[in-house]
Amino acid sequence: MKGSKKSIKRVSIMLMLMFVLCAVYLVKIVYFDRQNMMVNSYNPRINSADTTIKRGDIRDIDGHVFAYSEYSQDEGGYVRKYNGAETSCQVVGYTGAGKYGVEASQNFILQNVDSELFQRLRSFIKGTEVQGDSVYLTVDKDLQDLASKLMGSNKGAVVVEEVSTGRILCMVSKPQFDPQNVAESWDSLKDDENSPLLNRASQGLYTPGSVFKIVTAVSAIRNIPDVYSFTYDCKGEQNFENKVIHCYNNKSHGSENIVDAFANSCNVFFSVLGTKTGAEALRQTADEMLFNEGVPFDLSVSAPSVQVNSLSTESELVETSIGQGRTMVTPLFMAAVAQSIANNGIMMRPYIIDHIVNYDEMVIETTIPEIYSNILNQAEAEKLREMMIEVINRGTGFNADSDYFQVAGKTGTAENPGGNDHLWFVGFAPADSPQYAVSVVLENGDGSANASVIARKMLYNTINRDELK
Amino acid sequence: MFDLLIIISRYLFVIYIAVFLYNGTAYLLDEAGLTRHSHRRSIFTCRTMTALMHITAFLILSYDRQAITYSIPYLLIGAAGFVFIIMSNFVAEKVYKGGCPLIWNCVIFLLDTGIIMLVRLNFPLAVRQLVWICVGFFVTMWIPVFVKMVPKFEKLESVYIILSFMLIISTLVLGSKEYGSRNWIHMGKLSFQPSEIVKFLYIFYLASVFRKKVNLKEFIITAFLSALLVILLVFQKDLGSALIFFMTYMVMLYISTSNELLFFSGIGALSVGSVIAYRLFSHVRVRVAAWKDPWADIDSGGYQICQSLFAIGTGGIFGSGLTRGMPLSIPVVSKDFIFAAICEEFGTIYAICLIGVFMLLFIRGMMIAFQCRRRYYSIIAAGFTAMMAFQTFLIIGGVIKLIPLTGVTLPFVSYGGTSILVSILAVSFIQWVNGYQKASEGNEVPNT
Repeated sequence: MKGSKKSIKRVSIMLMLMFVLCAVYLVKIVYFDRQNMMVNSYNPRINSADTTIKRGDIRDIDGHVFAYSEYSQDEGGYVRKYNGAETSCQVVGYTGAGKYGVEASQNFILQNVDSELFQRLRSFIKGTEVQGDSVYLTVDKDLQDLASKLMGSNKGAVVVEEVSTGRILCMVSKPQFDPQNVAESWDSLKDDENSPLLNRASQGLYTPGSVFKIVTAVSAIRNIPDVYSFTYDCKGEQNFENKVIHCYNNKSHGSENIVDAFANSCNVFFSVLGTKTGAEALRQTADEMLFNEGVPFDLSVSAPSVQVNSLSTESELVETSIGQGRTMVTPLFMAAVAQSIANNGIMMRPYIIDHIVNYDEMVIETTIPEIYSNILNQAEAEKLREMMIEVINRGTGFNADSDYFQVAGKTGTAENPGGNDHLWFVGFAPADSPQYAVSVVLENGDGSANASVIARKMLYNTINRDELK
Repeated sequence: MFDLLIIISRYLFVIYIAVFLYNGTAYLLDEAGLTRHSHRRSIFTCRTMTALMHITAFLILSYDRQAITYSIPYLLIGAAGFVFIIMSNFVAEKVYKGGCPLIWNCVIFLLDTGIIMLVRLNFPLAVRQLVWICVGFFVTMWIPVFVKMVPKFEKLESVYIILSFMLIISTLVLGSKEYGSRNWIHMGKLSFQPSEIVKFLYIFYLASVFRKKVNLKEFIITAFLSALLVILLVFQKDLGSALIFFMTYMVMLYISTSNELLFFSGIGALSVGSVIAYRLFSHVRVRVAAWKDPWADIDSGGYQICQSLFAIGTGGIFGSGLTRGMPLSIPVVSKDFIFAAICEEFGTIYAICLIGVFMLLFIRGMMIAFQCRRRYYSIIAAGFTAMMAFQTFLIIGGVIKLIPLTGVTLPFVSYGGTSILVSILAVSFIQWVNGYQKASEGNEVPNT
């Protein structure tokens, strides 16, 4: 064969390989990247709605129908109806003006017509409805209603997560709205200064206050060799560089070790711990516990953040140590942290979509719980559990003490310039074999409700869920 | 009922293109002497598939849902398209007696896919596209005559390269910007991209130089002039054309010298050049950043590519069905991003098969180059094939984020008069070479 002919052959092979590569890459996109692309909020198709088909239902874990579609002669197409979804409004979402919540993230599922050819043919011959797939959530409407009731007029959020799986049984955000009337009241809802449309549980960023002492404690355990024998004499306040740290009500806690100080939620002690470990070590622990990354979820989430480093001033460091400063977390993320402590340090990926059924009620997809990350080792998780039990038994969390099981938890009171303190409780129960983790935040709590009490009642009612029926 | 038709059509389109591809491949294997099939039947089946695809698509496209009736202008354009499919095959075979029917089939299939997509996206553009296609075929008919008139056109290398430079430089003076690249010239109502015309001149130039053994001096001059051309294009921000020119040069150089060392040092030079261009030009950095992580900058730099990926991903393997997707949310969808629109509505299987149709076309082109015994024509056929192949790869790879995006058109499919003309003419030259080879097979032609 002549040289140039051989070269032509080689060039041809090279050209063909380029196109094979394109084809392979296309397959990759459709098989691996498809899900993420479909639900991306920048994808305009997320708002597409085909009113000629019956959009699938959104149901709670027991089958209660939150959202369904009904044919309307007037509209000449299907319209969306909501039923008992007020307490779950941010989770279920809306379709009236844009889309939000599960209505947005599962839009393609709800609009996906399973066995479309069969359904269309059947519809053509027998006049049956062409129906999209329905979504079963992991939340329980009874728990949603209960949490809403317990929160009363307070703004804030409640999250209950199953420890072994990451399943979200309750996710409530207040204030709420009626998903049925979103389109009509869009202007007032959108501009409402209380932002009822925002899912505070997954997207609300709050100063954690004392619940952040969990991180400071882990950082101390990891970085201070004699941490358990270290004691400090709390006088109710302490001077640091350009900053005076006060304990709650300026109460002096006296000489205490880390367990006492955690139970008392002593600001002075934890500020001193912060200065002992240093800003870089504290931030590193926070990073390792995903406090600068967050955890993925089926709905939109905001990422938590902890911003201290070696350049931070001492006042920034001590503020961060007690959960003030520029530290921000979401209630969902704190629930995941409590879940991890209860689960030997293993964080499960939280999820709210339980399974998906087709037009024939046949299950076509079920969420399998998955490990997301290992944020603590077993010894650290065990120590935190002990400390969180002490919080309930002899510390600030006495309101969460239950007659039926041992609760473990941590309270928090987050100062914020915009009004009353935010009240926090994160914890889990039963402490010896944890089933559920809880995270409660009351925004600018007015004293009409208590985060620890809500947490206790939510834990009790989740563990005894059958009694609610 | 109508939805039922669209649902079924999703599978029909896949069947049409799969059968087309199967028969095209059978023909190709035959032509390569590997199997023995009926040529005639393969070719006839391919044509039937094109016609069926056209009819199915226009049954969907011309239906007006609001009025519950068929729209006359759409039906007319559909009928005109159908007449074109029949006529073009007929005319092409009359004019190019030795031309390869598979190539015409692939070209017409691709052109028709483009027309269907354009009717769906933007009706007036589709009408103009059809006119351009007809103009293209009309011009094509005169190429054999033109080649006969200028028998010594392999001796005009200096004319080609001088004209090339004049055209490229003219855009610097007269050009206007479109999508960030200064590579268009407007003359009254007409506008064209000089770099598209230079593609021809450049390939003729290289073939003229490489038709005989090149000495070192000739080699250096060619390399220098080619590099200068590429650099000028980079300065005009026409990265796509710059890459196409460079790769075409490399391929033609390799085919005529068979020197791997030269080829790989060329690729090395490309890498070095890319790094320099990356450092030097912000528009190169923007493209690369948008390719590496489009999601990070989804509001500006990564917007186009993200919208393209959304369309491809949402469409899925069988697509949304013709008219049921949202391809209009993709920027420049009728030109650079038409492949993403095809992926969305026809589905990934169809899109992969469409890549297969391009592959058939290019393999056949390369086979013609391989079979042709006159070196000059062989190099021309290889050059045109490689040029179109690189252009196809650049834009398909770009819209699926396999490689950084360079704004070039998808040959035969994208909207654009210049693009359509150039693609049809390029194929015509390849066909002419095949005809020449077939005609000369009886009487031995000395290798030159």
